[in-house]
Amino acid sequence: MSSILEVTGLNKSYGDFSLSDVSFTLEEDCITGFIGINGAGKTTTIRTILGLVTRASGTIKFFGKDMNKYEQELKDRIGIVLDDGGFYDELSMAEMTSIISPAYSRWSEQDYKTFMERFSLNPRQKIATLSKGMRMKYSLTLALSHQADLLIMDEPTSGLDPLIRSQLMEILKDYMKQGGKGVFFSTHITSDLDKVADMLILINNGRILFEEEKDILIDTHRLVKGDIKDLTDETRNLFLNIQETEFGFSGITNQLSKVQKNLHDILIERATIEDIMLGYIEKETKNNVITSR
Amino acid sequence: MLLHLVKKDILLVKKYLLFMLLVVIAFPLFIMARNPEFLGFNTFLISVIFTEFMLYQYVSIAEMKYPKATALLCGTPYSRSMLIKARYAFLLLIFTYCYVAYTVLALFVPKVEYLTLLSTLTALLISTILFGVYTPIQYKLGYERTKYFFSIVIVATPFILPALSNVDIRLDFIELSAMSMLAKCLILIVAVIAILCISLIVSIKIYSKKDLL
Repeated sequence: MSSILEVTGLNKSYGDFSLSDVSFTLEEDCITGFIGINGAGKTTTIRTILGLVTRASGTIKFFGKDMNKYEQELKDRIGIVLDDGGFYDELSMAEMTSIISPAYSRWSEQDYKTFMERFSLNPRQKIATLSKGMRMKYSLTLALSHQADLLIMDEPTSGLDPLIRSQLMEILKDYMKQGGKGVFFSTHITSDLDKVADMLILINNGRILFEEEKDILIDTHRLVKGDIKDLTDETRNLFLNIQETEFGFSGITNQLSKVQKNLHDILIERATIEDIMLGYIEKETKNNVITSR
Repeated sequence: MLLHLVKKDILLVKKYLLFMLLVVIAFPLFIMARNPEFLGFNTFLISVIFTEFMLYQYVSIAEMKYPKATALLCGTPYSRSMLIKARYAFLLLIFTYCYVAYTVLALFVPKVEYLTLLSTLTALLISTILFGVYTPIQYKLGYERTKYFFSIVIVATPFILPALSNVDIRLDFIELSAMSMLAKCLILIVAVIAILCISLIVSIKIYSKKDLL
Protein backbone atom coordinates (compact mmCIF):
# COMPACT_ATOMS: atom_id res chain seq x y z
CA MET A 1 0.00 0.00 0.00
CA SER A 2 1.31 3.45 -0.86
CA SER A 3 0.66 6.51 1.25
CA ILE A 4 -1.98 8.96 0.14
CA LEU A 5 -1.21 11.66 2.68
CA GLU A 6 1.88 12.28 4.78
CA VAL A 7 1.78 15.02 7.37
CA THR A 8 5.07 15.75 9.13
CA GLY A 9 5.82 18.14 11.99
CA LEU A 10 2.79 20.35 11.51
CA ASN A 11 2.72 23.35 13.83
CA LYS A 12 0.15 26.12 14.03
CA SER A 13 -0.81 28.51 16.81
CA TYR A 14 -4.08 30.36 17.40
CA GLY A 15 -4.08 32.39 20.57
CA ASP A 16 -4.28 29.81 23.37
CA PHE A 17 -4.56 26.82 21.04
CA SER A 18 -1.79 25.20 19.05
CA LEU A 19 -1.18 22.20 16.85
CA SER A 20 2.06 20.72 18.13
CA ASP A 21 4.23 18.66 15.86
CA VAL A 22 1.31 16.84 14.24
CA SER A 23 2.51 13.92 12.12
CA PHE A 24 0.61 11.01 10.60
CA THR A 25 0.24 9.02 7.41
CA LEU A 26 -2.84 7.84 5.52
CA GLU A 27 -2.54 4.67 3.48
CA GLU A 28 -4.29 3.87 0.22
CA ASP A 29 -7.46 1.76 0.48
CA CYS A 30 -8.03 2.83 4.08
CA ILE A 31 -10.80 4.76 5.76
CA THR A 32 -9.09 6.71 8.50
CA GLY A 33 -11.09 8.11 11.37
CA PHE A 34 -9.70 11.30 12.86
CA ILE A 35 -11.12 11.38 16.35
CA GLY A 36 -11.03 13.73 19.29
CA ILE A 37 -13.31 15.76 21.48
CA ASN A 38 -14.61 19.19 20.42
CA GLY A 39 -11.77 21.71 20.29
CA ALA A 40 -9.08 19.00 20.08
CA GLY A 41 -7.72 20.36 16.78
CA LYS A 42 -9.44 18.17 14.17
CA THR A 43 -10.84 21.03 12.06
CA THR A 44 -7.66 23.08 12.38
CA THR A 45 -5.60 20.11 11.22
CA ILE A 46 -7.86 19.51 8.23
CA ARG A 47 -7.87 23.17 7.28
CA THR A 48 -4.12 23.37 7.61
CA ILE A 49 -3.68 20.28 5.44
CA LEU A 50 -5.91 21.84 2.78
CA GLY A 51 -3.99 25.12 2.93
CA LEU A 52 -7.00 27.04 4.22
CA VAL A 53 -5.00 28.23 7.20
CA THR A 54 -1.30 28.96 7.12
CA ARG A 55 1.09 26.74 9.04
CA ALA A 56 4.09 27.79 11.09
CA SER A 57 6.04 24.72 10.02
CA GLY A 58 5.64 21.21 8.69
CA THR A 59 5.31 19.41 5.38
CA ILE A 60 2.21 18.01 3.71
CA LYS A 61 2.44 15.50 0.90
CA PHE A 62 -0.49 14.11 -1.02
CA PHE A 63 0.22 11.10 -3.24
CA GLY A 64 3.94 11.66 -2.62
CA LYS A 65 3.86 15.25 -3.90
CA ASP A 66 4.50 18.37 -1.84
CA MET A 67 1.37 20.44 -1.30
CA ASN A 68 3.38 23.68 -1.54
CA LYS A 69 4.57 22.90 -5.04
CA TYR A 70 1.61 21.07 -6.55
CA GLU A 71 -1.35 22.59 -4.72
CA GLN A 72 -3.73 22.92 -7.68
CA GLU A 73 -2.88 19.53 -9.15
CA LEU A 74 -3.35 17.83 -5.78
CA LYS A 75 -6.59 19.60 -4.92
CA ASP A 76 -7.94 18.35 -8.22
CA ARG A 77 -7.65 14.84 -6.77
CA ILE A 78 -9.23 15.60 -3.40
CA GLY A 79 -12.92 15.71 -2.59
CA ILE A 80 -13.76 17.83 0.44
CA VAL A 81 -16.77 17.89 2.71
CA LEU A 82 -16.63 20.73 5.19
CA ASP A 83 -18.60 20.89 8.39
CA ASP A 84 -22.02 22.33 7.43
CA GLY A 85 -21.15 22.21 3.72
CA GLY A 86 -19.65 25.64 3.20
CA PHE A 87 -22.08 27.01 0.65
CA TYR A 88 -23.61 30.34 -0.29
CA ASP A 89 -27.05 29.60 1.12
CA GLU A 90 -28.81 32.09 -1.13
CA LEU A 91 -27.85 30.16 -4.26
CA SER A 92 -29.56 27.10 -5.63
CA MET A 93 -27.64 23.83 -5.80
CA ALA A 94 -27.38 24.19 -9.59
CA GLU A 95 -25.83 27.65 -9.21
CA MET A 96 -23.40 26.48 -6.54
CA THR A 97 -22.44 23.54 -8.73
CA SER A 98 -21.86 25.87 -11.69
CA ILE A 99 -19.24 27.66 -9.56
CA ILE A 100 -17.55 24.57 -8.11
CA SER A 101 -17.55 22.16 -11.06
CA PRO A 102 -15.32 24.16 -13.49
CA ALA A 103 -12.53 24.01 -10.91
CA TYR A 104 -12.10 20.26 -11.41
CA SER A 105 -10.48 18.87 -14.55
CA ARG A 106 -12.16 15.46 -14.10
CA TRP A 107 -15.65 16.69 -13.27
CA SER A 108 -18.26 14.16 -14.38
CA GLU A 109 -21.70 15.56 -15.09
CA GLN A 110 -22.97 11.99 -15.30
CA ASP A 111 -21.73 11.15 -11.78
CA TYR A 112 -23.16 14.40 -10.50
CA LYS A 113 -26.62 13.68 -11.92
CA THR A 114 -26.51 10.10 -10.63
CA PHE A 115 -25.73 11.23 -7.07
CA MET A 116 -28.31 14.03 -7.18
CA GLU A 117 -30.96 11.50 -8.23
CA ARG A 118 -29.77 8.90 -5.71
CA PHE A 119 -30.07 11.47 -2.91
CA SER A 120 -33.35 12.88 -4.29
CA LEU A 121 -31.88 16.36 -4.51
CA ASN A 122 -33.53 18.93 -6.76
CA PRO A 123 -30.80 21.10 -8.35
CA ARG A 124 -33.13 24.08 -8.47
CA GLN A 125 -33.75 24.02 -4.72
CA LYS A 126 -32.20 26.86 -2.74
CA ILE A 127 -29.40 25.70 -0.42
CA ALA A 128 -30.86 27.67 2.50
CA THR A 129 -33.93 25.44 2.43
CA LEU A 130 -31.98 22.17 2.69
CA SER A 131 -32.03 20.14 5.90
CA LYS A 132 -28.70 19.30 7.54
CA GLY A 133 -28.85 15.80 6.09
CA MET A 134 -29.56 17.09 2.59
CA ARG A 135 -26.70 19.60 2.84
CA MET A 136 -24.35 16.79 3.71
CA LYS A 137 -25.63 14.72 0.80
CA TYR A 138 -25.16 17.65 -1.57
CA SER A 139 -21.70 18.26 -0.20
CA LEU A 140 -20.88 14.60 -0.74
CA THR A 141 -22.27 14.78 -4.28
CA LEU A 142 -19.84 17.59 -5.12
CA ALA A 143 -16.96 15.71 -3.51
CA LEU A 144 -17.72 12.48 -5.37
CA SER A 145 -18.41 13.91 -8.83
CA HIS A 146 -14.86 14.59 -9.94
CA GLN A 147 -13.25 11.18 -9.53
CA ALA A 148 -11.41 12.19 -6.38
CA ASP A 149 -8.74 9.82 -5.09
CA LEU A 150 -9.05 11.04 -1.51
CA LEU A 151 -12.07 12.25 0.41
CA ILE A 152 -11.42 14.61 3.30
CA MET A 153 -14.45 15.16 5.47
CA ASP A 154 -14.72 17.41 8.50
CA GLU A 155 -17.38 16.19 10.93
CA PRO A 156 -19.74 15.01 8.18
CA THR A 157 -22.02 13.15 10.60
CA SER A 158 -22.35 15.90 13.18
CA GLY A 159 -26.02 16.67 13.80
CA LEU A 160 -27.32 13.93 11.48
CA ASP A 161 -29.86 11.30 12.40
CA PRO A 162 -28.73 7.64 12.60
CA LEU A 163 -30.37 6.70 9.28
CA ILE A 164 -28.51 9.32 7.26
CA ARG A 165 -25.28 8.51 9.13
CA SER A 166 -25.71 4.88 8.20
CA GLN A 167 -26.37 5.84 4.54
CA LEU A 168 -23.18 7.88 4.56
CA MET A 169 -21.19 4.90 5.83
CA GLU A 170 -22.58 2.79 2.98
CA ILE A 171 -21.58 5.43 0.44
CA LEU A 172 -18.06 5.48 1.84
CA LYS A 173 -17.84 1.70 1.59
CA ASP A 174 -19.03 1.86 -2.05
CA TYR A 175 -16.48 4.56 -2.78
CA MET A 176 -13.66 2.45 -1.35
CA LYS A 177 -14.65 -0.53 -3.51
CA GLN A 178 -13.22 1.31 -6.55
CA GLY A 179 -9.73 0.64 -5.18
CA GLY A 180 -6.77 2.99 -4.82
CA LYS A 181 -8.84 5.50 -2.86
CA GLY A 182 -8.70 6.87 0.66
CA VAL A 183 -11.01 8.58 3.14
CA PHE A 184 -9.97 10.87 5.98
CA PHE A 185 -12.91 11.51 8.19
CA SER A 186 -12.96 13.60 11.37
CA THR A 187 -15.63 12.96 13.96
CA HIS A 188 -16.38 12.97 17.64
CA ILE A 189 -19.16 10.40 17.10
CA THR A 190 -16.95 7.34 17.33
CA SER A 191 -19.78 4.83 16.86
CA ASP A 192 -19.77 5.71 13.13
CA LEU A 193 -16.22 4.47 12.88
CA ASP A 194 -16.96 1.05 14.41
CA LYS A 195 -18.55 0.07 11.11
CA VAL A 196 -16.19 1.51 8.52
CA ALA A 197 -12.82 2.71 9.78
CA ASP A 198 -9.60 0.83 9.10
CA MET A 199 -7.29 3.25 10.88
CA LEU A 200 -7.81 5.62 13.77
CA ILE A 201 -5.90 8.76 14.68
CA LEU A 202 -6.61 10.43 18.01
CA ILE A 203 -5.86 14.10 18.53
CA ASN A 204 -6.15 15.98 21.79
CA ASN A 205 -5.01 19.51 22.68
CA GLY A 206 -3.40 19.75 19.25
CA ARG A 207 -1.25 16.62 19.74
CA ILE A 208 -1.58 13.22 18.13
CA LEU A 209 -2.03 10.67 20.90
CA PHE A 210 -2.11 7.59 18.71
CA GLU A 211 -2.30 6.39 15.13
CA GLU A 212 -3.31 2.75 14.98
CA GLU A 213 -5.29 0.15 13.08
CA LYS A 214 -8.80 0.03 14.49
CA ASP A 215 -8.86 -3.76 14.90
CA ILE A 216 -5.48 -3.84 16.67
CA LEU A 217 -6.58 -1.02 18.92
CA ILE A 218 -9.76 -2.79 19.92
CA ASP A 219 -7.92 -6.12 20.37
CA THR A 220 -5.23 -4.63 22.60
CA HIS A 221 -7.51 -2.66 24.90
CA ARG A 222 -10.01 -3.92 27.43
CA LEU A 223 -12.52 -2.41 29.80
CA VAL A 224 -11.89 -3.88 33.24
CA LYS A 225 -14.32 -3.69 36.13
CA GLY A 226 -13.56 -4.67 39.72
CA ASP A 227 -13.52 -3.77 43.39
CA ILE A 228 -11.86 -0.51 44.44
CA LYS A 229 -10.26 -2.25 47.42
CA ASP A 230 -8.07 -4.26 45.04
CA LEU A 231 -6.54 -1.13 43.48
CA THR A 232 -3.07 -0.09 44.54
CA ASP A 233 -0.78 2.66 43.20
CA GLU A 234 1.00 0.03 41.16
CA THR A 235 -2.17 -1.46 39.63
CA ARG A 236 -3.65 1.97 38.93
CA ASN A 237 -0.71 2.61 36.62
CA LEU A 238 -1.80 -0.31 34.45
CA PHE A 239 -4.88 1.66 33.39
CA LEU A 240 -5.25 4.58 31.02
CA ASN A 241 -8.12 5.90 33.12
CA ILE A 242 -10.11 4.69 36.08
CA GLN A 243 -13.62 5.67 37.05
CA GLU A 244 -14.57 4.92 40.60
CA THR A 245 -18.03 4.67 42.11
CA GLU A 246 -19.22 3.30 45.44
CA PHE A 247 -19.90 -0.02 43.66
CA GLY A 248 -16.44 -0.45 42.20
CA PHE A 249 -14.15 0.78 39.45
CA SER A 250 -13.97 0.52 35.68
CA GLY A 251 -10.92 1.35 33.65
CA ILE A 252 -9.34 0.94 30.23
CA THR A 253 -6.10 -0.96 29.98
CA ASN A 254 -3.70 -1.95 27.24
CA GLN A 255 -1.79 -4.23 29.63
CA LEU A 256 -4.38 -6.93 30.18
CA SER A 257 -2.00 -9.75 31.11
CA LYS A 258 -0.43 -7.65 33.88
CA VAL A 259 -3.86 -6.59 35.13
CA GLN A 260 -4.95 -10.22 35.24
CA LYS A 261 -1.80 -11.14 37.22
CA ASN A 262 -2.29 -8.39 39.80
CA LEU A 263 -6.04 -8.19 40.07
CA HIS A 264 -8.23 -11.24 40.48
CA ASP A 265 -11.96 -11.12 40.77
CA ILE A 266 -12.37 -8.73 37.80
CA LEU A 267 -14.77 -8.48 34.89
CA ILE A 268 -13.22 -7.99 31.45
CA GLU A 269 -15.20 -6.47 28.59
CA ARG A 270 -14.43 -5.41 25.05
CA ALA A 271 -13.71 -1.67 24.90
CA THR A 272 -15.41 0.58 22.37
CA ILE A 273 -13.53 3.21 20.37
CA GLU A 274 -15.10 5.83 22.58
CA ASP A 275 -13.87 4.07 25.75
CA ILE A 276 -10.35 3.93 24.34
CA MET A 277 -10.46 7.53 23.14
CA LEU A 278 -11.59 8.79 26.54
CA GLY A 279 -9.01 6.59 28.23
CA TYR A 280 -6.14 8.21 26.34
CA ILE A 281 -7.54 11.71 26.76
CA GLU A 282 -7.96 11.30 30.51
CA LYS A 283 -4.49 9.79 30.79
CA GLU A 284 -3.00 12.77 28.98
CA THR A 285 -4.99 15.23 31.07
CA LYS A 286 -3.73 13.48 34.25
CA ASN A 287 -0.13 13.57 32.98
CA ASN A 288 -0.44 17.27 32.09
CA VAL A 289 -1.71 18.07 35.60
CA ILE A 290 1.22 16.17 37.16
CA THR A 291 3.74 17.88 34.84
CA SER A 292 2.36 21.34 35.54
CA ARG A 293 2.77 20.75 39.28
CA MET B 1 -11.67 29.47 -14.21
CA LEU B 2 -11.55 33.26 -13.84
CA LEU B 3 -14.87 33.70 -15.64
CA HIS B 4 -16.58 31.21 -13.34
CA LEU B 5 -15.41 33.11 -10.30
CA VAL B 6 -16.64 36.37 -11.82
CA LYS B 7 -19.92 34.55 -12.39
CA LYS B 8 -19.87 33.64 -8.71
CA ASP B 9 -19.78 37.33 -7.76
CA ILE B 10 -22.61 38.04 -10.20
CA LEU B 11 -24.70 35.21 -8.71
CA LEU B 12 -24.11 36.58 -5.22
CA VAL B 13 -25.55 39.97 -6.21
CA LYS B 14 -28.26 38.67 -8.53
CA LYS B 15 -31.04 39.96 -6.23
CA TYR B 16 -29.83 43.54 -6.65
CA LEU B 17 -28.34 43.26 -10.13
CA LEU B 18 -31.36 44.32 -12.19
CA PHE B 19 -31.98 47.30 -9.91
CA MET B 20 -28.36 48.41 -10.16
CA LEU B 21 -28.32 47.97 -13.93
CA LEU B 22 -31.37 50.19 -14.16
CA VAL B 23 -29.86 52.78 -11.82
CA VAL B 24 -26.93 53.19 -14.22
CA ILE B 25 -29.41 54.14 -16.97
CA ALA B 26 -31.78 56.11 -14.77
CA PHE B 27 -29.14 58.26 -13.07
CA PRO B 28 -28.06 60.27 -16.18
CA LEU B 29 -31.74 60.75 -17.09
CA PHE B 30 -32.42 62.07 -13.61
CA ILE B 31 -29.46 64.43 -13.82
CA MET B 32 -30.63 65.54 -17.29
CA ALA B 33 -34.01 66.48 -15.85
CA ARG B 34 -32.72 68.19 -12.70
CA ASN B 35 -29.26 69.52 -13.42
CA PRO B 36 -28.34 69.15 -17.13
CA GLU B 37 -25.04 71.05 -16.89
CA PHE B 38 -23.78 68.25 -14.61
CA LEU B 39 -24.19 65.67 -17.41
CA GLY B 40 -21.11 64.12 -18.94
CA PHE B 41 -17.96 63.14 -17.07
CA ASN B 42 -19.25 63.94 -13.56
CA THR B 43 -22.48 61.99 -14.01
CA PHE B 44 -20.66 59.05 -15.52
CA LEU B 45 -18.06 59.01 -12.74
CA ILE B 46 -20.69 59.08 -10.00
CA SER B 47 -22.70 56.30 -11.61
CA VAL B 48 -19.52 54.20 -11.98
CA ILE B 49 -18.41 54.69 -8.37
CA PHE B 50 -21.90 54.21 -6.98
CA THR B 51 -22.58 51.03 -8.99
CA GLU B 52 -19.18 49.50 -8.29
CA PHE B 53 -19.47 50.39 -4.63
CA MET B 54 -22.98 48.98 -4.18
CA LEU B 55 -22.30 45.71 -6.00
CA TYR B 56 -18.94 45.31 -4.27
CA GLN B 57 -20.63 45.80 -0.91
CA TYR B 58 -23.30 43.19 -1.71
CA VAL B 59 -20.61 40.66 -2.65
CA SER B 60 -18.63 41.47 0.49
CA ILE B 61 -21.71 41.07 2.69
CA ALA B 62 -22.47 37.67 1.14
CA GLU B 63 -18.88 36.54 1.68
CA MET B 64 -18.90 37.77 5.25
CA LYS B 65 -22.17 35.92 5.85
CA TYR B 66 -20.85 32.65 4.44
CA PRO B 67 -17.12 32.52 5.24
CA LYS B 68 -17.05 28.74 4.89
CA ALA B 69 -18.07 29.06 1.25
CA THR B 70 -14.84 30.95 0.54
CA ALA B 71 -12.97 28.22 2.43
CA LEU B 72 -14.68 25.59 0.28
CA LEU B 73 -13.66 27.42 -2.91
CA CYS B 74 -10.07 27.61 -1.70
CA GLY B 75 -10.22 23.88 -0.94
CA THR B 76 -10.92 23.24 -4.64
CA PRO B 77 -8.29 23.76 -7.36
CA TYR B 78 -9.24 27.45 -7.54
CA SER B 79 -6.21 29.33 -6.27
CA ARG B 80 -6.51 32.22 -3.87
CA SER B 81 -4.91 34.54 -6.41
CA MET B 82 -7.57 33.53 -8.94
CA LEU B 83 -10.28 34.56 -6.46
CA ILE B 84 -8.66 37.97 -6.12
CA LYS B 85 -8.20 38.41 -9.86
CA ALA B 86 -11.87 37.58 -10.34
CA ARG B 87 -12.85 40.36 -7.93
CA TYR B 88 -10.88 42.92 -9.95
CA ALA B 89 -12.33 41.52 -13.18
CA PHE B 90 -15.80 41.89 -11.65
CA LEU B 91 -15.15 45.58 -10.99
CA LEU B 92 -13.83 46.12 -14.52
CA LEU B 93 -16.92 44.39 -15.86
CA ILE B 94 -19.15 46.81 -13.95
CA PHE B 95 -17.17 49.74 -15.36
CA THR B 96 -17.59 48.32 -18.86
CA TYR B 97 -21.33 47.99 -18.35
CA CYS B 98 -21.57 51.58 -17.09
CA TYR B 99 -19.68 52.82 -20.15
CA VAL B 100 -21.81 50.80 -22.58
CA ALA B 101 -25.04 51.89 -20.85
CA TYR B 102 -24.01 55.56 -20.94
CA THR B 103 -23.01 55.32 -24.61
CA VAL B 104 -26.28 53.62 -25.56
CA LEU B 105 -28.11 56.35 -23.68
CA ALA B 106 -26.16 58.99 -25.62
CA LEU B 107 -27.19 57.25 -28.81
CA PHE B 108 -30.89 57.59 -28.04
CA VAL B 109 -31.09 60.72 -25.88
CA PRO B 110 -29.78 63.79 -27.73
CA LYS B 111 -29.14 65.79 -24.54
CA VAL B 112 -26.76 63.11 -23.24
CA GLU B 113 -23.43 63.61 -24.93
CA TYR B 114 -21.03 60.85 -25.84
CA LEU B 115 -18.13 60.38 -23.45
CA THR B 116 -14.73 61.25 -24.85
CA LEU B 117 -11.96 58.71 -24.63
CA LEU B 118 -10.11 61.02 -22.24
CA SER B 119 -13.03 61.38 -19.84
CA THR B 120 -13.73 57.64 -19.97
CA LEU B 121 -10.12 56.87 -19.11
CA THR B 122 -10.09 59.53 -16.40
CA ALA B 123 -13.19 58.00 -14.82
CA LEU B 124 -11.52 54.58 -15.06
CA LEU B 125 -8.40 55.95 -13.39
CA ILE B 126 -10.33 57.54 -10.52
CA SER B 127 -12.39 54.41 -9.88
CA THR B 128 -9.24 52.28 -10.15
CA ILE B 129 -7.50 54.46 -7.55
CA LEU B 130 -10.48 54.23 -5.17
CA PHE B 131 -11.01 50.47 -5.48
CA GLY B 132 -7.31 49.82 -5.87
CA VAL B 133 -6.78 51.31 -2.42
CA TYR B 134 -9.95 49.92 -0.88
CA THR B 135 -9.63 46.29 -2.03
CA PRO B 136 -6.32 45.41 -0.32
CA ILE B 137 -7.48 47.22 2.83
CA GLN B 138 -10.68 45.18 2.83
CA TYR B 139 -8.77 41.93 2.37
CA LYS B 140 -6.55 42.95 5.28
CA LEU B 141 -9.14 44.28 7.72
CA GLY B 142 -12.33 42.56 6.58
CA TYR B 143 -15.65 43.99 5.48
CA GLU B 144 -16.89 45.01 8.94
CA ARG B 145 -14.01 47.36 9.61
CA THR B 146 -13.94 48.93 6.14
CA LYS B 147 -17.61 49.27 5.28
CA TYR B 148 -17.73 53.00 6.10
CA PHE B 149 -14.88 53.85 3.70
CA PHE B 150 -17.13 54.14 0.68
CA SER B 151 -20.04 55.59 2.59
CA ILE B 152 -17.75 58.52 3.29
CA VAL B 153 -16.63 58.64 -0.35
CA ILE B 154 -20.22 58.63 -1.63
CA VAL B 155 -21.32 61.35 0.79
CA ALA B 156 -18.25 63.45 0.00
CA THR B 157 -18.42 63.04 -3.81
CA PRO B 158 -20.81 65.97 -4.50
CA PHE B 159 -18.49 68.29 -2.57
CA ILE B 160 -15.22 66.90 -3.89
CA LEU B 161 -16.15 66.67 -7.56
CA PRO B 162 -16.42 70.42 -8.29
CA ALA B 163 -13.04 70.90 -6.62
CA LEU B 164 -11.58 68.01 -8.58
CA SER B 165 -12.92 69.46 -11.84
CA ASN B 166 -11.06 72.71 -11.17
CA VAL B 167 -7.86 70.80 -10.49
CA ASP B 168 -8.32 68.89 -13.72
CA ILE B 169 -8.79 72.04 -15.74
CA ARG B 170 -5.73 73.69 -14.23
CA LEU B 171 -3.62 70.60 -14.84
CA ASP B 172 -4.97 70.34 -18.34
CA PHE B 173 -4.04 73.87 -19.24
CA ILE B 174 -0.81 74.29 -17.40
CA GLU B 175 0.88 70.93 -17.56
CA LEU B 176 -0.88 68.73 -20.05
CA SER B 177 -1.95 71.12 -22.77
CA ALA B 178 1.23 70.64 -24.71
CA MET B 179 0.66 66.92 -24.88
CA SER B 180 -1.22 65.30 -27.70
CA MET B 181 -4.49 63.48 -26.97
CA LEU B 182 -2.78 60.19 -27.68
CA ALA B 183 -0.06 60.91 -25.12
CA LYS B 184 -2.64 61.86 -22.48
CA CYS B 185 -4.61 58.70 -23.12
CA LEU B 186 -1.47 56.59 -23.01
CA ILE B 187 -0.48 58.12 -19.66
CA LEU B 188 -3.93 57.36 -18.27
CA ILE B 189 -3.85 53.77 -19.58
CA VAL B 190 -0.39 53.19 -18.11
CA ALA B 191 -1.50 54.69 -14.79
CA VAL B 192 -4.61 52.46 -14.68
CA ILE B 193 -2.59 49.34 -15.47
CA ALA B 194 0.11 50.24 -12.94
CA ILE B 195 -2.38 50.91 -10.14
CA LEU B 196 -4.34 47.75 -10.96
CA CYS B 197 -1.19 45.62 -10.95
CA ILE B 198 0.15 47.07 -7.69
CA SER B 199 -3.23 46.75 -5.98
CA LEU B 200 -3.68 43.20 -7.30
CA ILE B 201 -0.23 42.11 -6.11
CA VAL B 202 -0.77 43.64 -2.65
CA SER B 203 -4.24 42.02 -2.36
CA ILE B 204 -2.88 38.61 -3.41
CA LYS B 205 -0.04 38.88 -0.86
CA ILE B 206 -2.45 39.82 1.92
CA TYR B 207 -4.96 37.12 1.03
CA SER B 208 -2.36 34.36 0.67
CA LYS B 209 -1.54 34.74 4.38
CA LYS B 210 -5.16 34.94 5.52
CA ASP B 211 -6.55 32.10 7.62
CA LEU B 212 -9.91 30.98 6.23
CA LEU B 213 -12.03 29.85 9.14
